[in-house]
Formats: sequence, C-alpha cells, structure tokens
Amino acid sequence: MIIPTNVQFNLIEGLIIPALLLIFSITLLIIIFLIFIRRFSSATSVVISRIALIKGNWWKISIILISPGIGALFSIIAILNPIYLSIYLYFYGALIVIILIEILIFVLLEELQKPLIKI
Amino acid sequence: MSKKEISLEIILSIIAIIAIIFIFNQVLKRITTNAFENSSLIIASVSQSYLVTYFYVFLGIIGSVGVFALIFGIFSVLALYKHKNDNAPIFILTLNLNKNQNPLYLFLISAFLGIISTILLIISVFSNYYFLFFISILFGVIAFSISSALTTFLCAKYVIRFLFRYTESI
Repeated sequence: MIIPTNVQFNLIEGLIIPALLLIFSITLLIIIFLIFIRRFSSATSVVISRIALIKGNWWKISIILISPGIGALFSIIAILNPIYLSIYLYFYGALIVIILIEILIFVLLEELQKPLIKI
Repeated sequence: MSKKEISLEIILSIIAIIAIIFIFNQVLKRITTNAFENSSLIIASVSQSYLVTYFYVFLGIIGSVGVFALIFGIFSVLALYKHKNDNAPIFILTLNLNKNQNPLYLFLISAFLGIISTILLIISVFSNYYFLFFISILFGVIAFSISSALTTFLCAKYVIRFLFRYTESI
C-alpha cells in the first residue's frame, strides 16, 4: 500500500464533527438501551412485551441483530482504502449503524408502551 | 456504610480530582504547543514499518470477527423471515432474556469503550503521542468485538435453530 504524505486531510469534516456526533449518539444509545432493558426484562411487563413484540416486528429485530455485520462491511471496505480515507469510513459507518439502532429501539419502545386493549 | 468506607471514598475522590486536573492541564499544554503538523495521525501514516503493522493486525481482528457476525446475522434474518407468521424466535428471545443476569448489559461496556476511544482519538490527533492513537484503535476493536460476539452468541443460541427443520424423535 502506498500512502501519499502530501494529502490534505479535512480536519473538521473528517474528524471533529463525526467524533462529536459519535459521542453524542453513543450517550443517547446508552440511555435508550438502559430504558429498553429495564422495560424488556422486568417481571411485570413480561406478557405485554411478548404480545407487543410478536405482532409484526420481525424485521426490526432482524436489523438489530445484523447491525454488527453492517459495521463489519464498512470496516472491510475501509481495509481496502488508505488510512486517510478509512477514518471517514469508520466514523460515518459507525454513525449510520448507531443511529439506525437508536431509531429501531425508539420504535420498539413506543410499541411496548401501548396498552393491551388495542390488541 | 461504615465510617471507614466513607473516609476512604472521600480520599480516593480527592486524589482522582487532583489527578484529573493534572492530566487535563498536561493535555491542554500539549494541544496548545503542538500544531496539527506534529499530530500522531501524520506520524502513524509516515512511519509505515512500525505502526501500520499493528493497524493491520487490528483490522484483521475486526474483519475476522465481523465476518462471523455477518454470517450469523444473515442466518438469523432468514430464520426470523421463515417464522414471520409464527414469531417463535422472538418468543424464545423474550422468554430467555427475562432474567436478572442479562447478557445485554455487556453492550453498555462496549458503548463506554467506544466513547473512550473517540475521546482518545481526538486527543491523539491534536497531540504528539501516537501511543494514544494505538490505544484508541485497540479500545475501538475491543468494543466492536464485544458487541459482535454478543450478537453472534444470541443468534447462535436462540434464533438460528428455527432456520433448520427438526424431526422430533418419538
């Protein structure tokens, strides 16, 4: 692999903005995930969670389970590129995967909080 | 709590605050004295023979763990698609994850490691320490491997067996 030394690495687009966005999104993910675990695995909401998850959410759970694979695809693409491009790929790939998981967990939490009467 | 524990905690917290102030001061000095031309990213990209080898080792770990995660994830998606009317795998997941000792809490460790690795990468780019760049990549690799190993574990234990047909022995 040949690395050119006189490449202009855009500092703001390449590192500062995605890194701050990553820190913000990971803190959001920790909060959402704690709420999700507490609601998902508590003894009182067992029946509600089962019925709400069984309705038609197979593709949301499948995307959550395949999300490390999507991150691995981004990393495998980044291996084939030089370092100054691979940093872009790692940051934006991780951002895409984390925001996707956050949206899906938000939707699942919304469906877990619905009452039993509608079913 | 006893008095000894409280006093020990107070002493430890005071020591930690002093250490954090000292480290932060040193880091700020480093950042202000060194411009971006002396950053660790450029040192790592120029010295190919020494540090890029470790970089490739870490990338190999990510690739080898991530390929497993991708294969198991594709199998789990197929299993969930096969039982989309029945929803047996989701039922088994909700049954088995309703315990006090939940394996999902390991995802939180990987998330904290990701935050630490991003902060270390920012510090390493603005400073001269390329050892921090190395450590940030190491933490990121550990975080990714923990999360992918947990998903492969969940898929292999609870989900994938619904993909294959089984004949119940009488």
